[in-house]
Amino acid sequence: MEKIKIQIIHEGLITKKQLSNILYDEIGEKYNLSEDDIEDLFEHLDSFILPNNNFSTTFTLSLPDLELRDIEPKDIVISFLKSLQSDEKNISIVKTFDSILHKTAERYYKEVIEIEMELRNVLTYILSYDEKNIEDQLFKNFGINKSEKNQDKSMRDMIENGLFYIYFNHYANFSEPQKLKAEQIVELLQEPTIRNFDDFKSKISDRAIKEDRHTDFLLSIKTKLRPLEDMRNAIMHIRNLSKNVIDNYEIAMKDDNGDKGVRTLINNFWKNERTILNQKTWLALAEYQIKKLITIVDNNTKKFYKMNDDYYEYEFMEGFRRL
Amino acid sequence: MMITMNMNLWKDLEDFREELISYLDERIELNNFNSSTDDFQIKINDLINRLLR
Repeated sequence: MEKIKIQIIHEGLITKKQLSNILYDEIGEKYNLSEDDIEDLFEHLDSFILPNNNFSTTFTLSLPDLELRDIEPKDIVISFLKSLQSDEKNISIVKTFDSILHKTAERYYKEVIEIEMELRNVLTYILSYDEKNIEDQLFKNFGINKSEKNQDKSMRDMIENGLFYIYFNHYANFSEPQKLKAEQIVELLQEPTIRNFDDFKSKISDRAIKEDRHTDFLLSIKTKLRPLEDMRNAIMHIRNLSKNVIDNYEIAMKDDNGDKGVRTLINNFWKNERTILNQKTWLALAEYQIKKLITIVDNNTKKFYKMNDDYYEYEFMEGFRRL
Repeated sequence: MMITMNMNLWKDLEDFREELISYLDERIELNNFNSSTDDFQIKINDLINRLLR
């Protein structure tokens, strides 16, 4: 059973009989439903006179589970509402609740928010790798407008960053900084830190993402984010999910021979980072740990290795307790 | 893994190199990384030599 709520602005009277006659013509004979059966599907909720003497009427349609072939429940609903729309007395018709859309949106919602969070994870890492502060100036450098203002303090309190305040499809903008305008270049040239052309060049290149592999990832997701954003917006605003929106979204998400979907691109990004950095990371962590744990004592005749008592105790506290 | 030496005991590097590596191996957890390959063991030894020689 699907439930649809409809608000009609109209002239004169609308009755359940009128509504059911229209729907009967659409589905009555085809699905063996009597006129009474169909009238029972409608529930009148409210009618109000408006200041301009038109009326606002709200009713629900409870569409039963039908054995459908070559048509979907949503198409039956749209076809019925279009027939209703063709009556001149009906000035405007809006579908305000739609359980069919609700279910479809819910299915995609989980996937879209998961991808958005995973992308934030990647972006946060890439920007940290480059020692770029995630702040308004950075967004300006990449031509990114924030979707809403944010307070630094509340963001920190919520353990979030500025990426939570930009549009989803702007994530890929980090692949290339905005070209500097003439006056920005003049301003840059006057900075005290710019002493020669190399300083200038390095200042310019610092604006971009430094690692080619990171830029390559951002470019690879660039064309895929718009369909995801379209799906996200349709879901968040509970709008119709058109075939176009769904098809483009599916294409962006799925792997198709050489063309990888967004999720695979994200997974491959991390795999690649591991391949490149795991050895170096292990050795750096080991160095840090050894330096904390061990001191070399050289008494001129022999070298000894002394455990740093405090850290040793901290590291093996559990062991000591057992002893 | 716990480095089993008494914390007040002084030792030569060779005596506890193996223990040290096991300790590091247990502490450092990296996703999908195997530190026991011969190639990487050479790098670990190089690091220990650089820091403790």
